Amino acid sequence: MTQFLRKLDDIDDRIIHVIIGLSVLLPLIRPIQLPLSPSDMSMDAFEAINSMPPGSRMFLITEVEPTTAAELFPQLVAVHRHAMSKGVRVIYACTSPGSPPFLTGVVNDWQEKYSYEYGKDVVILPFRAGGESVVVQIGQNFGGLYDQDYRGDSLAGMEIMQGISDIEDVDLVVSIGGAELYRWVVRHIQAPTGLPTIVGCTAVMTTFVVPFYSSGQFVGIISGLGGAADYEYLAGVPGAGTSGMDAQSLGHMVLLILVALGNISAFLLKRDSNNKGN
Amino acid sequence: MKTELPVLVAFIVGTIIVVSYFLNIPTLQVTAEALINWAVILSGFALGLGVINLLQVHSKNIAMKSSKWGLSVWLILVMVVTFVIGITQGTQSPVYSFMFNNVYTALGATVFALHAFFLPAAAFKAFRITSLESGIFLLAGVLVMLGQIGIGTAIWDQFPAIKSWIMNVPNSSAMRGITITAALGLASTGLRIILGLDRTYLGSAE
Repeated sequence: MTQFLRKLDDIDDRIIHVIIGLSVLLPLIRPIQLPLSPSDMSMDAFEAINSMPPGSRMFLITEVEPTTAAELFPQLVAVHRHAMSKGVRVIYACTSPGSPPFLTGVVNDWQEKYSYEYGKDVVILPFRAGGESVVVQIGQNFGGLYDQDYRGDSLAGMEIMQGISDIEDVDLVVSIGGAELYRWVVRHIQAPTGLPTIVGCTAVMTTFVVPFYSSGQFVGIISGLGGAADYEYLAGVPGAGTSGMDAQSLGHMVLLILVALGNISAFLLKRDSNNKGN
Repeated sequence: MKTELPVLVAFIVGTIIVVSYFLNIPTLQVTAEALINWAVILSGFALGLGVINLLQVHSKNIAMKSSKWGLSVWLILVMVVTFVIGITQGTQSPVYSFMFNNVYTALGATVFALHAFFLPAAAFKAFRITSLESGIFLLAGVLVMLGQIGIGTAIWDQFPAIKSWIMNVPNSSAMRGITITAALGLASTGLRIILGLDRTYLGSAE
């Protein structure tokens, strides 16, 4: 028994890698459709957009990048599809150079299905370097920062931008980002203007974002792939979030089992060595 | 002069930005807006500077045949090819989109996905209960994880409620404390920079 426990305790990392690989891969090949139970913060995020009247305008700022796309892109798609199905117009902006292709991808991919018009229902603003300085500018001098869209077309002639000279002219703000974006948005947009704000973040960032949700500064949070799956479930449109949740669930379960096994073996080995010492 | 001028600029700019936040003086507001605008423009230049810096560092690697200089050749080649395609054909062109979707995105996602392998291996060896504190830490982690995943809900439908409580009550309380402390630290650092007491941004340790 002791020998087995020792072997378990010193298990080769590669065996763990194989177990994890299989636990993620198998549900992707053959989905098991585990139950989904949307969290309060996901439901609040969904409800905030769902209650917007057709024609109202949402400002969505993102820093989705290839490294975070697995979690953030399904959120972006879910929010976009929901907004378009409700007739809510979306103004997209980004703070990272890797984001524009994701934005053009999501806007182009769903145009036929929801029959929206670029410039009337949706617009993509160009990438601006500067990180937090850009968000400060959005909060204080929106019109001065953007006068053209990402293709170089003037915003002045676009129907979606009519009457928007200030960030306060939009009805809702959505921030979908991996690290610092939510902080910049709360500092320079939400706090000064009081605009209802939703945050989409990677799961690991949720602990940092939740205090702003508890305080009422964020009206909802879409957390990681699970948040995207919740959103898709609430909107009734399964997508990448839902299909990835089985793999994530099983992967997490294997992780929990590994942690439990590690603790059991460590405990038994310690007890064994104590007994031998006595 | 090399030190005094940047400190003076930091003092003037910092003071204008801080005061304009608290006082609604039109001239000050306009000046502050212009300064923030400059920051955005300077960030654009910083990107260009980054490219030049990368070229310098890696050209030196190649010239001196440092270890793994082949990777420097590859980096410069990819950077130049991407730049040329982006400039000549546009970032919406099929070639650029193909490179973005099938090279950059795929590589980025792959590197990120490696966490899924390294994290459980590390967790297996590191997440051990050695004290009461580590026990509480592990228990909280397990409960949050079970509340987050479908299997947890299938086992017991109260796991999501427990997860929400942990996130909203103990987590929020602790994070607020950390956030407020960090903000105070940030404010004091800002004040030190404005007053010229902290000059580390000039590259000195004073």
